[in-house]
Amino acid sequence: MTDVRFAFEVPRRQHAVGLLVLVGWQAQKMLRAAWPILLAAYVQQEEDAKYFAWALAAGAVLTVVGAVLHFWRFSFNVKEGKFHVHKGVLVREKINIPLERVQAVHVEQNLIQRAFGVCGLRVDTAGSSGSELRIHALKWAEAQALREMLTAEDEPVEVPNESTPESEQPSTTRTTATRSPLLELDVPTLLKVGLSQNHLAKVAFAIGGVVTFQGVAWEVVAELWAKVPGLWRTILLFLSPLLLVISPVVIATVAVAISLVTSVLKHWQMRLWVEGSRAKRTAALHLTQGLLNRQSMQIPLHKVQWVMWESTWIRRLFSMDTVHIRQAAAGGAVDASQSGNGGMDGGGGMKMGIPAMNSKRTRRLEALLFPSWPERRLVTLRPVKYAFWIRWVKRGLILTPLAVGAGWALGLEWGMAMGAMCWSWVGWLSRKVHRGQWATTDGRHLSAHRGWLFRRRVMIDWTKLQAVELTQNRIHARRGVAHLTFHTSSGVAQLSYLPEAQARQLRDLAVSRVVSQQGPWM
Amino acid sequence: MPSIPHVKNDLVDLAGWPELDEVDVVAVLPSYAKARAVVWGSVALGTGLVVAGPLTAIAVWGDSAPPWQLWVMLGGVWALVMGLWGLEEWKGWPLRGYLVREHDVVYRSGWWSRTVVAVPFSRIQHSEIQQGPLGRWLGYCTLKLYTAGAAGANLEIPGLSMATARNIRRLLEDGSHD
Repeated sequence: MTDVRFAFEVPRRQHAVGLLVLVGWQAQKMLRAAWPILLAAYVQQEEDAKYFAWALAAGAVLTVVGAVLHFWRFSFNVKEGKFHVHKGVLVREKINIPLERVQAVHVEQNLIQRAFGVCGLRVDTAGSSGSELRIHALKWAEAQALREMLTAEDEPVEVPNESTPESEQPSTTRTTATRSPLLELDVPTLLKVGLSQNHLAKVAFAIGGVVTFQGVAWEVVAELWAKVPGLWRTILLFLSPLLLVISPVVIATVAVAISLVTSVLKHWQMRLWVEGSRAKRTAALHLTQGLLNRQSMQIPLHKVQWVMWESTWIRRLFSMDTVHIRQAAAGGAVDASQSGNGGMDGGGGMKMGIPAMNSKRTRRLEALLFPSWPERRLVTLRPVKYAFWIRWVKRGLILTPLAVGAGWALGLEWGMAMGAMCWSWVGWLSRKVHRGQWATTDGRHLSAHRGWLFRRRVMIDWTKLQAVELTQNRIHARRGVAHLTFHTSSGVAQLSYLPEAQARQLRDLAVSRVVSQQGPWM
Repeated sequence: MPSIPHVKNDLVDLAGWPELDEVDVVAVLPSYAKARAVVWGSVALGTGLVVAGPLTAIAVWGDSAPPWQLWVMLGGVWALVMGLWGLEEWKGWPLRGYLVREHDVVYRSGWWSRTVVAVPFSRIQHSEIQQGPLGRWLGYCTLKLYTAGAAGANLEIPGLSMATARNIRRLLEDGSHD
């Protein structure tokens, strides 16, 4: 290990395969920028075939030259606690990143990189949210070594309370932790994960696909139709209404297939484990996954700000939740436009999504991320009954036009029946949702549950809070009800319709936890 | 049971945690009320002109006067919206205020929907004092305190005198170094 580590002291270029990767990367970028032009040229192919070919050739040459220059002028090294990068063709750039500013290092591997046994490395820094650094090709071992160098916090950060008790046995924690991974997805579990995705989101894709290919399908059908003997034609015509029944089934099947394929591609051979010692603040949750694009990321345990468990009724059938873990956003605020990005996208803080968390793994994860939970006896917080009535009336009023419409069209009795049905259905649903909304706290952490069919559980540590917000409108004030919002640096936890006195007490307690907390919060 | 020994270290004396008493809230400058009134008044005047202008023009130069129902309808909507806004401002003014404690800043606002935001000093990333043209004319400024959270976790206290804003800021700088 030491010789590899030594190799980063002098400025060096990336692995030669990086050239190839860069060509692929640049071509991709170029295609993404120029595809409308290419498409237009292709449509007018007959007149402009020559130009099209020329444009393609020019693009290819530019890509290769750009890649070669980029490769040639890009060098990096780690020296004196700083990560130095020199890059740029026309404008030379020298970037020095102090190691303590490095927020996260991602290692990823796409198809080309896998074929040559190298991988790419991306460095996110605190401060400017957009800026990130990419190294396109490094040997796997080198990348791991470099990542370790970049994320290691050599200087002991002042953690007066936490460092002492565990520092006697850091080696044991490290070995035990590395030996047993938190989660290893085998193929059956992976298939279950695929089956329990939210298929509704894919239905749109499926319909789009069907619509796109229907032109081709009609031609094929017409050709086949010509070859079908007469007797069969009548039978088929007789059966044709079945198509109407079949098409939703086809669409549903396609949607499920898309979910299956995407989750297999994404979570293939997923492995989740913990490495490093808590005393040195190097303990981090590591995750590797992916079939075509292999990625590996890590979140230091002490930087976790916000954890959410998410389950749907399908996932509960398999008893598997998906858990989302968020680290503080690089550069501060989480932008609404950025928070929609996937886990590996830079910008708005680092996110990790882990599927297939059963209750046992959830307990282990809780113990890791919130080691002191539960600190003392848990207190359960529930919204007041008033919340249920409000929800019922609001939802009921939304559906009432349906009943009025029915009464107007079919007569008073039908309208009454429709109204009764709507209101009882909404009442039942509101009751379920109301029952599903509760939270527990131990005076330091908060675990808030919400939802009935789609359930969410958010867990935060009050010592990492950024702000606490208490809201009530006039009616709430009169009834002594208030909402509480706990803002962390990467998400919120909300408690609505609490008794006002309790809400105030919780707010004051949470603020006092922040104030009394010593040491860094991220 | 997770055998993490350092848990015991940061217990808080739960009986003695400081409660926030909203009676202590400090009102913001009256000149800021003036500014809000100016904004309300000019918007009311502007929208009133936008509504009444074309109708009057039609009545004066057009072939036939617009029906009186139109006047009532548009006027009613205008009066309702401006009235509700005015009520919110009027009733909300006495509630608007801030509170600076040893370790945190609290800001309360709103009449119909009242919000109280508390931000601990140690979480404030940077601060900003802003003074627009209205503020320069009437003599108040806005203190903005940014945390690492999303927009909802940032605090904006309008209607402070320049001296108060500077003092809060100084307090912040002192507090963050201990």
